[in-house]
Amino acid sequence: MRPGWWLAALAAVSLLACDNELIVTVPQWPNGGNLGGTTPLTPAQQSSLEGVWVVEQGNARFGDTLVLKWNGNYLGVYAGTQIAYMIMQGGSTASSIYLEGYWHDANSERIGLAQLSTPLAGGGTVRLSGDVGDGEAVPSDPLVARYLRPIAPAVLARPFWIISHHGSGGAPEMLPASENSVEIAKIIERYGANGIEVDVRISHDGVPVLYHDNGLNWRLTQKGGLVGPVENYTFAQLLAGVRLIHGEQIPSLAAFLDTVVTATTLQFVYVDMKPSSVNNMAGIIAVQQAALAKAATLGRTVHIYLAITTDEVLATFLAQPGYQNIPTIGELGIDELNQANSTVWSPRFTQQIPAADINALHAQGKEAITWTVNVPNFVQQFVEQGLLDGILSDYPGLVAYYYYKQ
Amino acid sequence: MASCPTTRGWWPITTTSNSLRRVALAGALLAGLPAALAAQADHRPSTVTAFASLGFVHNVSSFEVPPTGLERNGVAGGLRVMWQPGHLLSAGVEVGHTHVYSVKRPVPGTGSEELDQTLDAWPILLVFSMAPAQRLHINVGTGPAINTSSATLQGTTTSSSALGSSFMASAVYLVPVSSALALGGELRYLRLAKYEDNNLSLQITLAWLMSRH
Repeated sequence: MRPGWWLAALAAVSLLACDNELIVTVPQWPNGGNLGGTTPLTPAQQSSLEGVWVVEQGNARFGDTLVLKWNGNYLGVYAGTQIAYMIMQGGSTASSIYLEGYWHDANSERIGLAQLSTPLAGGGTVRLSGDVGDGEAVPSDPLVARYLRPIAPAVLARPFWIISHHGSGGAPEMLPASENSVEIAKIIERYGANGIEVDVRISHDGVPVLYHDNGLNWRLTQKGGLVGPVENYTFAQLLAGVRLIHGEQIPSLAAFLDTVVTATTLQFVYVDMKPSSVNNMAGIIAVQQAALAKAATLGRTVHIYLAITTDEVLATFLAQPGYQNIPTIGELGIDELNQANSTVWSPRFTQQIPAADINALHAQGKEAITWTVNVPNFVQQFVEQGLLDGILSDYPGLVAYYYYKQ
Repeated sequence: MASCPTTRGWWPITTTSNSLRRVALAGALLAGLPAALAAQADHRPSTVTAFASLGFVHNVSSFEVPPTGLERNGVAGGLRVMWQPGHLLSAGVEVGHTHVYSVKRPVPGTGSEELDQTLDAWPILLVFSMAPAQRLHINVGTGPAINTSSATLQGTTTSSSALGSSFMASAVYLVPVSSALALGGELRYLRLAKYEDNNLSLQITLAWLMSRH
């Protein structure tokens, strides 16, 4: 046998053995960054930054327009181009407002540190200027943006649901917490969401748990030995034996909703009932009702909806006592929506969504949202039509950009 | 080894330099085309041989975050039946079992309690084989594999399985011990694609000439 054959065989084996994993790591500022020497921003300073900005330098990375919006102490900077965004924190010095954080092209592994500042002195044109970089390198690519206007009051006044798909979208490795985890609920608002969609399944011992795929796999979990459907394992086995890709445990629905209610300001939870939900729908409903009760006790306004996704799920739901009063989302047709007395209609965006149907729902005090819209043009189109009450997307920052830019 | 019985009658020996045969062989090896078997010109006796293997296996996969209590070593074995229509290339079927890896994870909040989890695989392979030198056989195979995991916690074991694909390459060196038996060692690589596992194993192989026509 010629040596070439062996080399070819080795090459083939090497190719087959290649493991291709990509998990983006959020870059960290050296020594904790420069915010330690600043004073926390006042609410007035914060709100002075919120609005629509025109990019004067750095357009290749961020396009022509930025939308800035605070989510707690984090300033989301959303750009339409490349579905890029920045997550910043701020402080003030004697002479300026200083922002520091990172930028990310949500469609790729391009990520890096970012810093911006604007003089405190009022008057004239307000500009943010600074730099962005690659990875943990000191930022050196200039970014300059000019303040154009605040977010339109009518836009802010209208409730519009920006719902993060699976908690953190279809590319969970692109965010610092795993999809369908407790940890993602704590941070997803920074990325532009005010709602979150998660997927519920029933473990072998009847516990409603969050997990999307039909089986355990290395797309969603760290390689660890358990394979097959989560439904085959007890909750204790899942807790001990599975780590999501960023190291978290598979959560129970109860733990997740408790976190949403007590540790976030999310207002909309979309619980997608996967097929095994029929094994303990009463359990899911009990968890939902407990979370709603806790939210009421705390004075929190949070809508927690169970999504009816298939005919079998609908049939099981209709067999539940008092189902008419259980908040649900209907993913099926209008007839099924009425059967279950669902509050929200959620057709797939590729379906026909007649304006007359939406208007009829609005007349009944119901809402209509759609899933899962990731293409910028479609997001823009749905937002500008103004018919829908929300969009479920893998890129909440993209929806935020088009919504708040109006 | 002068007293050893000859194996030339049923053991394939590669001596050809015919480039067309090599092309055909490469096609069979790389694309898995059994039709390439027909391209062989020689008409030596057709044989059916069974190979039984058992040995040590080591998981060489990369773990981005290696779990606590990871055990990469285990036992693997299999049974392969090969049809050798003449020279150079033989084809057959293999069923096997391999330990992939096991993990003993501490159960959070329980002190010393552990979850024992084991991943095994049962590959079912279509195998092509050739002998580039006397007594040396090179095998490649591909086919489905049943990946089975079990988790034991507090005395309760739960099992689950998922079907995936697999690829195998091995080299076997056999020494005849009788007219129908040969014994040797096998170094093999197994790729389990679904869960991105790569195993290397060293096995003892017993070959039994079942029939010869």
